[in-house]
Amino acid sequence: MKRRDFLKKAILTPAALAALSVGCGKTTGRSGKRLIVLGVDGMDPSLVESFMERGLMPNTKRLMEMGGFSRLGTSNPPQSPVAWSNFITGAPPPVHGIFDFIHRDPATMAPFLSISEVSPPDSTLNIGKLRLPLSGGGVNLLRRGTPFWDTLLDKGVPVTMVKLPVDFPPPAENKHGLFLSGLGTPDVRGSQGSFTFFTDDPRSISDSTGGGVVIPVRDYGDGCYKCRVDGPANSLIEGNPTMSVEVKVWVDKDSRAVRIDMGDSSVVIGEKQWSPWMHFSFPALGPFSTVHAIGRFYLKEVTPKLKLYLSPINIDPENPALPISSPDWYSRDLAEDAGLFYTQGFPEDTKALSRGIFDDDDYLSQANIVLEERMSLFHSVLSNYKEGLLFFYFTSLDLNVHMFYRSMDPASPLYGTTDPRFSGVIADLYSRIDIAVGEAMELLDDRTEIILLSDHGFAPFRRSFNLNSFLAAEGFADISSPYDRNKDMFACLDWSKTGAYGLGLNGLYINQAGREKDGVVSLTDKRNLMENLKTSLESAVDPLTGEKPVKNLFILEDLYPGFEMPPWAPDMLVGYSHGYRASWETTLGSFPEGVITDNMDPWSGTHCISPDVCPGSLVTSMRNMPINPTLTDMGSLINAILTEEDGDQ
Amino acid sequence: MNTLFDLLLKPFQSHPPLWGLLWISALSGLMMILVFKKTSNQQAISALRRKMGSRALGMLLFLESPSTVLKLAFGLIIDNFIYLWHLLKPMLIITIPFIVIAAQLDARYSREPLDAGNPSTATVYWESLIPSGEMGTPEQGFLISPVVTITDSLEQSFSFVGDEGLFVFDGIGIRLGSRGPSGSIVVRGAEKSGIIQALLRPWNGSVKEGVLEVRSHIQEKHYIILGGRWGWFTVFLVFSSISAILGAVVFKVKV
Repeated sequence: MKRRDFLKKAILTPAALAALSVGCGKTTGRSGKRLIVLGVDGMDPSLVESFMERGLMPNTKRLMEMGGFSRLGTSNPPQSPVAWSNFITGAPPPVHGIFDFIHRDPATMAPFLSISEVSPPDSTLNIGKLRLPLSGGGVNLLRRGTPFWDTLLDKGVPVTMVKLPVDFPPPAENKHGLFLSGLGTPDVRGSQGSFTFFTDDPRSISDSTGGGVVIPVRDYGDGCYKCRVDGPANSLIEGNPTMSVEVKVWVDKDSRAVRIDMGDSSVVIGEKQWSPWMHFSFPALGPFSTVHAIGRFYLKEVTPKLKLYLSPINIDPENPALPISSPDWYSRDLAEDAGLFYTQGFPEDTKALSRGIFDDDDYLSQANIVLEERMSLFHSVLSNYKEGLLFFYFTSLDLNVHMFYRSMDPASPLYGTTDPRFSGVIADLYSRIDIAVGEAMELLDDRTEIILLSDHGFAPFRRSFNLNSFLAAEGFADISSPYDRNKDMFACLDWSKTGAYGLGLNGLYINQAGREKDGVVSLTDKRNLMENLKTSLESAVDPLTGEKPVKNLFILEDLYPGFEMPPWAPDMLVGYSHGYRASWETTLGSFPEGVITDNMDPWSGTHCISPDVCPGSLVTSMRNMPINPTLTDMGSLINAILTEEDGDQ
Repeated sequence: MNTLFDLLLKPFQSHPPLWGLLWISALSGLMMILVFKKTSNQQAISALRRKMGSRALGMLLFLESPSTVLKLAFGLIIDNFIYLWHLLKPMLIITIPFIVIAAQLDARYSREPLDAGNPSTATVYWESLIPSGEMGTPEQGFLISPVVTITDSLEQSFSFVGDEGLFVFDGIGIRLGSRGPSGSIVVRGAEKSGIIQALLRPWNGSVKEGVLEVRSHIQEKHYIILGGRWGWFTVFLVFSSISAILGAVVFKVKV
C-alpha cells in the first residue's frame, strides 16, 4: 500500500465522522467541482487549428466543440519561465521577478539562472578537511508573488501539480497539496542538464556550445574502458571536490555491444540502444552520507570508435538528494507507480543534438523516452485523481518543436539538409498530446471540467540577430579588444564608452551609473538613450530579406507603469519579428562578426520574440470562455471554478 | 530446507509476498527467543541482572563517596563482560539458523519477478573455453541486447527480459526466475554446489557441462511499509525483533 493510500485510509473514518458531525460532506468554500488542467508548453494555436483540420487531433477538436478554443495572451517576453510565472501568480514580471532565463547582478555583472539559486551554509563546523554545515544554506526559489493555489489550499481544495514549471524547490508541505517540480529542476551537478560523452575520438566533437562534457577514454588492450562519472561537488569537504564513481565499459566489437559494470550492477546494450535507468551512489562522507542519482547510457557507436553517451545525472525520485516534491514521499510514490523518470526540468537533450553528439534519430529516440515516461506519470496521476485541481505539464512539444521546426519550414536554412523522414515529427507529437487529452476527457462528467492551455506558441528561427554586435556597430557599445569579441560576458567591451548591452534572450540593459558595476549613463540621459535605441532597433533592416528583424522594442517602465523594478530587471525587451531571434552569442554577452546571420543550429523554432507573434492556446470544456484571455487570468479562472463564491456564477 | 520453507509458506501462497515475509520474520523471532531460553543459563543471567541493578543503585546511593562509586562502576564493567559471556553461547547457536533463514528469505523475497517490465542482465562464466558460434535463442523470455563476449576472462553477458516470471535458455543451461506461487525461490544464478553452498545460496540453480557459474542482476524488490521503502532484510530484522521482544515477555525469558 502506498503512503498516500495508507494515510487516506487512516484518516478516512475520522474525516467522515467530522463531516457528518457538521451535517455536510462539503468543506466550506469549495464548489465541489473537479478540474483537470493540461499545461502543454509551446502548443501553437495555428498548428492546433491545422492539425485539428487534418484530423490529427480528434480529441482536442471534440473538447473545443464542447466548450471553446482561443488564442491565449502570453507574457512579455514569451519565455517559459516568465510565462508560467505569470500563470502561477496571475501577475506580470515586476511582481514575480522573472524576466528571462538569465539575469545578471548589476553590481558584479555575473549572470545567474533566474528560477532558483543554491546558497551555501551560513556557518560550518570545520574538522580537518571536513566542513559540517551548522546553519543556513539550501535551495531557494527565486519566483516571488502568491501562487493561485494558495487560495484553494486555504479552502481545503485538494491540489495536485505534477511537473509544475518554475517551482523548484516545491512549496512547503500542505495536507491538501501534492507537488512535483518541473522546469527549473536541475540535475545533481546543479546544471539544467549536463550530459557526459565518453569516446576515444574526442576530436570529432565540436566544443562550441557546452551542455555537457566530452571525456576522452582509451582501451589498454583488454577491451575495457575505465570511465569516470562526475557527480555533484562535495560541500562537506574543503575545496568542494567533485564526487565521482568509476564505471567499467567492456567492449565487444564483433557483437557491437558493451557491458557496463558499476558497483555490483551490470547492463548490456548494443549499438543504438538505451540502458534502463541505472542508480549512481556518490559517496560524500564514506558510508555515512551518499548522494543518490540516476542516469541512462546510450551506445551510439562501438566501431571504429567508442561513442557512449550518458544522460545528465538526474536526482533520483525514489531517494532525492534535493527537494523535488512536496510532500517528499510524493516523488517516490510516483516512481513506484510509474517507474523511474527524468526529474530534470529540461529532459530532452537538445544540447547533445546541437553539439553533434546526437543525430536526429538519436535525439528522437531520447525524446521518445521522455514522452513515454511523461505519459506513464500522467496515467499514474490520472488514475489516482479524485477531487480538486489536477495540473499536469508536458514539455515534449516545446523542446521538440524547437529542434524540428526546420522540418516543416521550407524557408529554414536547414530545411534542405533535414531528412524528409522527419517532416511528420511535429504532427506526430501533437497527435500524442491529443491522446493524453482524450484520456483526460474520459473523466469528464457534470462536475468535471478540462482546460488545455499553453504558455506560448511558436515561430521559425531562421536568422540570428547579434544584438550586441548591432549595438557596437551603431555606437551604443564600444569594443576595446576586438580579439575578445567571441568571449562571453562582454570581455571585449570598454565599459566607460558603452551605453547599452544585451544579455539573455530578450533583455536589453542600460549601463546605468550607480547601478551597473562600471555604469556611465546618468538617470537623466537614460530615457533619451532608450528612445534612441528604440528608434534605431525598430528601423534596422535585414539586408538579405529586406525585413525588419525587431518588431517592437518595449521600454519596461512604459510596459509596466507604476511598478518598482528589481535591480536585475532589464530596461528594455527586444520583441523580434517572425523568423528572427537573438543569437546564442547574444545571450551570454559576446560580439560575433556580422549583425544578422543564418541560423544553422538545429534549434530552428522559437518563441522568444514579440509576444503578439506567438500567443498560446486555450481549449476548454466550458461554454463560457473568457474574452481575450491571457495567462495571468488563468489562476483566478481556476479558483473561480473550484471555489464556492465564484464557482456558482 | 527448501521444502521446509515451502511448507511453512504454503498458507501464504496466494497472498502478496509481504505477508509471507512477515510470517517468517515473526516465527523466526519467536523461535530464536525460545532457542535463547533453552541454550542460555537463565538462572545465571537473572542473578547477574539483579547484581548489576544493585550495583547501579549503589552508585546512586553513595554518590558522596567517589571511591565506592568507582569500585561499583568497575564491578559493573566486569559484570557486563560476564553478561556478554553468558550471551555468547546462545548467540552462536542462533547464528546458524539465522544465516539459513536469511538465505531462504533472500532467495524468496529480495528480487522482483522476471517480466517484460524488468530488464535484467546475466553473465555466464565458462570453465575453459567459450563455445564457438551463435548462442541461439532462449526457450522462454527474450534477449534484449547482443551477447558481449570477454574472451580473456571467459565471460559472456547479455540483457534479457523474462516471460511469466521465467527466463529459460537451455543452450547455456540457464533457468532463472520463478513461476511458483508467492514466496517461491527466485533463481538468479547457477553454480556447481555442495550441501553447504545449497544451504547458503538457495537462489542458485545447477549448471550445465562447461559452465563454471552464472550470475544475474535482477532488480531488487522493495516493500512499502508506513510510507517507507523497506528491503527484505530490514523487514526481517524489525519484525523478528518485535516478535522476539513479545516472546520474551510472554515466555518470561531473561535477556
